[in-house]
Amino acid sequence: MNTLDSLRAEFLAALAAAADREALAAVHQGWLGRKGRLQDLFKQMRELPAEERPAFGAQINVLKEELEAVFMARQEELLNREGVARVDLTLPGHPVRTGSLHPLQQILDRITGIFTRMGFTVEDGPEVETERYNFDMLNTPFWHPARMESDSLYLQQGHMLRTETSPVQIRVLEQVKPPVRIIAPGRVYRNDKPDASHSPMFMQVEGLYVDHGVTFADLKGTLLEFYRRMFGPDTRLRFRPHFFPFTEPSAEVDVSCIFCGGAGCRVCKHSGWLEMGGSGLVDPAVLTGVDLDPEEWTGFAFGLGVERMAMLLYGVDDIRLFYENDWRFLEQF
Amino acid sequence: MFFGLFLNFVTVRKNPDGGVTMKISLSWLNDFLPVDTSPAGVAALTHELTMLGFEVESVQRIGRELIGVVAAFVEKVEPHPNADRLRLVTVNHGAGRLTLVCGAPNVAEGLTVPLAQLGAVLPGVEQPLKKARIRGVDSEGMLCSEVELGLSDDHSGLKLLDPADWKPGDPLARDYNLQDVVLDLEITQNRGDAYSILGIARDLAALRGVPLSRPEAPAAPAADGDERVEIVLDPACADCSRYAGQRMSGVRVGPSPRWLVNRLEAVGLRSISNVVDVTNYVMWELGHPLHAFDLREVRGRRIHVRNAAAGERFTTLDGQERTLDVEHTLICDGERPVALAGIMGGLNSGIAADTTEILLECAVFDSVGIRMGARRAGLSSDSSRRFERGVDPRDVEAVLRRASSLVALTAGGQLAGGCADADPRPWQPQPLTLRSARCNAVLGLALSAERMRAHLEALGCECETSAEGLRVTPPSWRHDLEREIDLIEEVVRLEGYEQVPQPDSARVPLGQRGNPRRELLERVRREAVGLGFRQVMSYSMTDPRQLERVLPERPVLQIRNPLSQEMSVLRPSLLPSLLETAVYNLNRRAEGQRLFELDREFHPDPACATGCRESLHLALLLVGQLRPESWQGPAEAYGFHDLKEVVLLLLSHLHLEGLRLLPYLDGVFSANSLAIERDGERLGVFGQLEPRLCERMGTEWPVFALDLDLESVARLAPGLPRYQPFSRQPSVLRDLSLISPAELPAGALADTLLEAGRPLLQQVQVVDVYQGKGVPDGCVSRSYRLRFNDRERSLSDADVDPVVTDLLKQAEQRHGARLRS
Repeated sequence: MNTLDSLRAEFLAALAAAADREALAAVHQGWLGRKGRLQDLFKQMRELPAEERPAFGAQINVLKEELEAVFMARQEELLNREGVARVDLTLPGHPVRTGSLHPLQQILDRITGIFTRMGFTVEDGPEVETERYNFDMLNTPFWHPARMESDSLYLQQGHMLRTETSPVQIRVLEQVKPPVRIIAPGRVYRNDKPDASHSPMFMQVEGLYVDHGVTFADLKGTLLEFYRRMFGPDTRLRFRPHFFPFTEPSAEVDVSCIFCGGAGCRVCKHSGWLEMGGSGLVDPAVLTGVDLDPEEWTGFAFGLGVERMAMLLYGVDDIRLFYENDWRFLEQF
Repeated sequence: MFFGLFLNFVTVRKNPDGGVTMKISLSWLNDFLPVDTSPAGVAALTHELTMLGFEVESVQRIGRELIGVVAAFVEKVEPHPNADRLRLVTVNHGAGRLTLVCGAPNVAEGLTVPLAQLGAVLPGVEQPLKKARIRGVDSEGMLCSEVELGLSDDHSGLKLLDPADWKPGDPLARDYNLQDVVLDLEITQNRGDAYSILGIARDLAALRGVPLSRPEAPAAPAADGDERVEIVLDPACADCSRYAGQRMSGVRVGPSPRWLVNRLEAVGLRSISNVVDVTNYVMWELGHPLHAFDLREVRGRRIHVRNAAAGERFTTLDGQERTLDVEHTLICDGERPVALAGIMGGLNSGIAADTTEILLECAVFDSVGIRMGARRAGLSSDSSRRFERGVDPRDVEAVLRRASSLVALTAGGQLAGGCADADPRPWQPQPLTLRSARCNAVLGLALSAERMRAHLEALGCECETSAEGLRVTPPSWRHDLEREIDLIEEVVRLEGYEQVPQPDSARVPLGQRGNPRRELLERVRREAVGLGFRQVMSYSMTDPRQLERVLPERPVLQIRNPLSQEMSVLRPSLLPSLLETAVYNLNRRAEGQRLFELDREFHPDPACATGCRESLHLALLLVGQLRPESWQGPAEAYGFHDLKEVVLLLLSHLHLEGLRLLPYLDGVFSANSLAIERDGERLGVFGQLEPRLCERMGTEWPVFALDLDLESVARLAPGLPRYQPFSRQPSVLRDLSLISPAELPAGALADTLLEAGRPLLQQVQVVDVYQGKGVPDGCVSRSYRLRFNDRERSLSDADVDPVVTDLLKQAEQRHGARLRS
């Protein structure tokens, strides 16, 4: 008994004397550790007669718990007194270089994300195209002004830079039997001098759905769904008759102005509408060109401009900013 | 009408859809159907036109109101007592006489001139006219030139009024007031029939379901006898299917009446003379171009239409001599060409001031022929633009009647005989079938055949009910109605696109192919961003001179019609533009740049159908300061090992296995570069770019870059990582400082250690590199931290010590490396 009491007393004295972490750790090791003095008591226990051992063991355990608790309290007290090493909170943080996606990439990802969730798959095609795919197969007659050198860029070696991503649709229709439900995003090229609203290169997303019984109503419904997911559930669409060689009936698609909701503002030039791109039912001549019977298959196609959408959504007023890659521009996205 | 065109030459806006813009005046449109010009009315009209497919690009109100300006008769002109250049003029203005001061050089007794009375409001002047005292004499009004009346910028003298037409006191407002609204419409390429006031009115009437009224065209008086010109169409000339000519005699060429000038000016045309103005007016109104010849110059009173000979020269009335080819069509008289058919008249036969006999031409030329001819001649005119889109082959008589009627009205003259009309291949109607079920199936509507018929008939089609639906004969002016789908489009256009319902569900076909390549690109972009890189996008077109500076003598694809030399070739690598971007930003106070671009390279390749192999690459670049100067220390520049870490992380995140890094050097990448290879195929290169090349591009910073061929990466089809069971046993660490010859790469020694220490040695890290005191010259001391581990058990010194002994022996034997004591 006395052994236990004196042990307690010694422990408490040593603990009181321990003034820092190291001393504290030494106390813990000396009394409570694997080779500590309490462990020695358990060894002594073996020398006792068998009938005394349980009672003694219980006493040691009680003592051990008690000492552990006192130790914890003391440790807490010491650590509290020590506190945290203070730093100057007003100094600036460590610089971290973060990466970012180009703003056009971010918009493009959003567009393709929506269409993908709407059951469109993404297809690619070459940017250097043959006139056959870029024009002939899209029902564009040989005299069409879009074919002129003042409108399109041609290569010295022959062929041309695609003026839209529609050739991808033809290439897919040549390879895959309908139903086909695709979008084709990518760079397209026009013979336009760069200025605030023109760029000789820009990005387009074109869509195509060919199946049994696709109607003009399906076109309207699909685009409405897309633009609502893009611009919000209150978005309204206006389809205006227009002409494109590869669709008929053709429509220009206007979206209710995303800034004024259609009431009229500076951005929509007080019309309430923003022009987004062309659309229409695939012209029977285009289907016939890829050996599809227009009596059996119908389809719709549409296009939209990535830069245009990015300019609207980010409030960018000069298309050249996207390709200038000034860090002061890029870091904002 | 090609006369006068060159004066109205407006640059036609480039429109890739082949559309064209046309101004229409609403007062003019009002001749055909009622038009409400109130703001609400114009807004409603704008909506109607928009939904018919004619985009309204601008709405402009034009106005000129002359208040208090009347005709006055000059009775007396006297000198001004105090000024040599001024006169005192007494005029009779119908209600009495006034005296005023006038400085106009042409003032003279007996003239009829415009008088602005006191209180008159003149265009552009806010205050009403007040009594003025000029050099001591009161002036009770002002005699006006065209400038003061806002009619033109002619200020050479008083405007003279025709005394036969103007009595003193007649308000000038009678003829010179102008209140109009002008719309700028886009006419799509397929709608040649709508390229006129009539065409627009026709569509509006169909939409509204109201009748169309046409302006009256009373027949011009006829002279005695019949002196038609002889018209011969060369059978070899395919581009002219009809040619009609109307002779008129007794014509007096002079200025046009004001109403005519007003209308032409409203739509952007300039008045030339009454006869020429009439041809322009009728073209604008009815959409069929006309031309007026001075009959004196039509030799032999004969018109011969033929193909031009190759190299034939002809001077058009803009004074330019043009060299023609066989695809041009010429209008010739008995001896020589007098007009370039459908495009522009000849300088030799235009209307002159003393012309009295004219030939009005109204012809039908092939649209493609005129389009190609105009393009070859580099000449686009109001006339050619209309022929290109197709004119009505059946309106020739009506057009000539309207034109001769207006010539008679504005310039006098009589019809000299009937209309000579060569029409060897008369227009034939082409009936079509419209299946009403098909129409509804395509549109997603449920219209009755009757409803479809009503729309088509409103547009001028003749319809008969047939078994399947309708048998439809389009009118002669609608060249675009050739197929059933064209009729379906007309039905929905008149029904209204907004009437087509929007379904609330869509079918998604299953079993479509995926796009694993695109998914890889997304992954690569995500990794690059995660590693702290900013994506840039540059033009695919680049400057060959710039390219030469970075990648000399690379084969490139050249653009035949480049915008500029700066954009005249397709880039064969992403590196030059990425480097250019980095330099651009360094020059704009960007301290450090971590940039990447992921896009296509273009390589000439005859094996490809397009002559071009497009391959996707990732280019990634580090330059400048890794860390800017801050309170934590001085600035630190990027080095090779910053890039190396990034590249290895990227490759490991793509789960590419079996990669080897081999020394590389190619003139762009310096000797501080490594190639990434797998099974002998090079996937990419990374390292420091040649410093002289970077200096040429404008930076003295070392530049570190990666060029990774994603086509090769995609072929390896990197997939998901394979889980590797890891050891839960504690590791034993040992640090060894080894002295070795300096030329021995740290990696070689590490490889030796790793090999010798297998299987317990798991990892070798270089933790210190030291040269100096205690290390012999030509040697280097490197500290390697070795990590030993076993999956099954906890290792003891007894396990590790013999391994260390062994690997030290290997290091010494192979590399002469020994422990630093």
